[in-house]
Amino acid sequence: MTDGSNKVHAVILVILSLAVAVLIGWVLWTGSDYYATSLPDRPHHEDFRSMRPAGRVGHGLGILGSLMTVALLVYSLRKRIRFMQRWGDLRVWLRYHIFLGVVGPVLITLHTSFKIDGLVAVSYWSMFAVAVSGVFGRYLYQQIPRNVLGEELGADDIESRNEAILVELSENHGVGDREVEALENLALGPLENRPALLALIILPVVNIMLARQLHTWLMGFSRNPGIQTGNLARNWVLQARRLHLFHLIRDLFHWWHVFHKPFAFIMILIMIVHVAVALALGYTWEFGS
Amino acid sequence: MNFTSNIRWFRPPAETGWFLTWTIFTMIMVLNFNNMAWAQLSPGPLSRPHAHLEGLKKCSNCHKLGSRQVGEKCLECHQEIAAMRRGGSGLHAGDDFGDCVTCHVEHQGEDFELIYWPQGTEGFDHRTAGFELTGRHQDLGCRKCHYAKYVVDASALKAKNKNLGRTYLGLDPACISCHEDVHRPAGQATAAVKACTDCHDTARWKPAPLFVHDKTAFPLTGKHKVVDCAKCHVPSTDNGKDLSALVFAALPHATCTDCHKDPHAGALGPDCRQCHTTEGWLVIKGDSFDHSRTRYPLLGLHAKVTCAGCHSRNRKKPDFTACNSCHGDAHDSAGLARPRLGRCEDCHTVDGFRPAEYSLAKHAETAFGLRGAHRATPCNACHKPRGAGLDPKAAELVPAHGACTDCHQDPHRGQTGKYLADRGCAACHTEDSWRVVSFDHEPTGFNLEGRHAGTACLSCHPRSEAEVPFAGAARHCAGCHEDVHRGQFADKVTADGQAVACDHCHVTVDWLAEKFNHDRDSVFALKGGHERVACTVCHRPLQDGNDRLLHFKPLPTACKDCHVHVPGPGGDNR
Repeated sequence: MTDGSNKVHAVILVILSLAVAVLIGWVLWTGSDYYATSLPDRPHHEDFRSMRPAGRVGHGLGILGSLMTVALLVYSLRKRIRFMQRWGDLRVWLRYHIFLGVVGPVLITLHTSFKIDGLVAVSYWSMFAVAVSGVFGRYLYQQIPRNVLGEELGADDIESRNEAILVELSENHGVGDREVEALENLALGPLENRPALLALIILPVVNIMLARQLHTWLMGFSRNPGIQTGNLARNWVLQARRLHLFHLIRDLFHWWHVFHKPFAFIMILIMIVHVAVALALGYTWEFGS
Repeated sequence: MNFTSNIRWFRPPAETGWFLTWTIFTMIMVLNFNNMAWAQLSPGPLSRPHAHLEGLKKCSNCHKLGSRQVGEKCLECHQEIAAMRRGGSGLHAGDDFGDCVTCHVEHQGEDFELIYWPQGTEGFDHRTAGFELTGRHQDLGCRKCHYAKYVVDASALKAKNKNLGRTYLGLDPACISCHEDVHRPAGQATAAVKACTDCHDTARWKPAPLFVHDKTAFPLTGKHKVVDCAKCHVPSTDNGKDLSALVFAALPHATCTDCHKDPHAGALGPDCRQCHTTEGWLVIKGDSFDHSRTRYPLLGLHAKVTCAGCHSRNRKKPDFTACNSCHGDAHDSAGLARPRLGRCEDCHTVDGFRPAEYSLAKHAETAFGLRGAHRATPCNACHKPRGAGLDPKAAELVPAHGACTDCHQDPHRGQTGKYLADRGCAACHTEDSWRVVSFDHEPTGFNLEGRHAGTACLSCHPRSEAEVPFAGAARHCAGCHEDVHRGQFADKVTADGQAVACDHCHVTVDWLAEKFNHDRDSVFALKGGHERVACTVCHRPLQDGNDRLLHFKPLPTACKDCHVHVPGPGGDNR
């Protein structure tokens, strides 16, 4: 993926995000009183005819959210169907997939007007599970090192890359054995001697604290190290930590797929039933309803 | 240095995803079938009245495939509503009630109330239901009328699974659908009165404000208008429970005695209306009742008196033997106490209390017979009311009459008292006229002689305002007469030095100085030819044209003062 293409999609996503934010903001603003009304009283609310799931606004939100939910499946097709695999960078597809996976459930939640029951509630909660698991999956995805093409790297590749960074630090940045040993402790100290899943969960927090720890580490040098030294050390620590949890992350990512896809499938299946029933009963979107 | 740890989970088998998918899906389906949530392809449970329509296979009972409109389906079941809409009656026939789901929202849970009152039941505008609540209806709670007891065809509604304790349907706007017809039997309806609202309104049941009795065969007139309905339409107990059944139709009313008793016991005929009207029992048709048929024919003013003037509820048969049975005695019994002319009719007649038929002849029989001007004097000039506040008719029958001043004022203010002796005013005046006076002036010491005897009294006693002054009148000539000599004799005195009065020369018979002696009373005795000379030759008028003011003195007494010497041929003097 070229930098130019990346920027174009970034702009598109920003624009889409702003448009959706405006839409959601307007719906929440106009429907706040309705949403705050208790369920038994809602049918008597003046906005009931428009804000209810079958209403002009509510139904529109449902249609838009459903279309987004369907659209994000194209990402899965992109990954699995051979001829589609040539369609652009998978990471761009993933960004749109994530965007749709975040916005779609929000719109559908507004479509339900926070009244979730019946069979379609299974679809909703499945969607909820898919969305939440998507967040966790995105986290696992980020923890797996990849090359510039987005392909996963193996543990050996990462080991060799880290070794190269260590040689660079040693030869060109004056990092001695004592500093390397300190760097090793800094990298693995917060993770070792903890349950593996807990270590994975606290990893983002530990990584956030890394900048301060590296600053302390750099202050131990006899001469003032350059910025490059810190960047190399930071990359080395991050890679070392990922290597520490490498197999666990890969294993969990497989499990994540196992959960993510069934719920997505159930969500889509029941949603299709829900939409089919609605259409069969004549509930097409009527602007004036 | 190798940082790659051996921390890992076992990886799921390749088919785990699909296996998990079907497992979860199957569990969902099973769970949903168990709790009937499968039926909730719908947005939510149906309300309790529609619970029997719950179920996946029953969606089309209400929903028409391909159309979100459910109104037609609603009315397929709610045929009573459909019938009312077709008939244009009831709430749902209004233009604002086209789509059922606009008001009756479903799928909101089994406890959801399908009937929603935006302003509460109290704020419901009942006019939209085609039956405006007015009068006492406004104060009633809904269930006072929308009550199972009043539902006209309860079985039909029950067949539609209507809860008669909850439904607002089934009422008939006719009054008797809720109210008992107290005019039993129902056959009492007449051509003029067919519906309850022809007579009654909703403000109150009775009296029936809209009922117009004039439309019946017996229009109410006079006091019949204010008689309580039940006085004629007597309550009965035909239902065996109460006295609520009023008989309206077929009430006999051909003759008055259908309702009233005949106090005359038929003596005056069968038709009361010949004499009486509905304005009141005592209001008699004066032109139709012949009072001469009674023992007291009405004469004079009695013929004009209303019946009630004599006949009242407490005095239906007044005593007519004496006037004061009806009339008050204006004379306060003074007249009745007289030994003569004591009865009213001795003086009065039925033609009126006044004037009384009291003739001069009757007055002559009294101690004060009327004579002269008294005969023409109005009665009330002497017989005045006996006091303020008393009946003006109550004149004093015997006013004081011993002296003239009992009635008349004394214009002389007592000046003449010493000359009247026992005769009083009659000493000078008579009853014929006040102005005809006969007075003997001699006792006054100024006897009227000569011309004085024929002089009018007022010439010497001139009227001063209302009083004629008698006392103090001048007794000397100058008190009344003018001195025509203008003082020419003022210096003349008698031998004893007293001023000479007019009567020294004049008398009262005429003005001529008959007592004047020119020789005695003047300094120039008339002798010879002077005796034949007229007075005015020597005494000339002092003023031209005033022959009475003559120049008497002083006159010259020498001959030449009058005579002129003219020597004649004979040489004599003339």
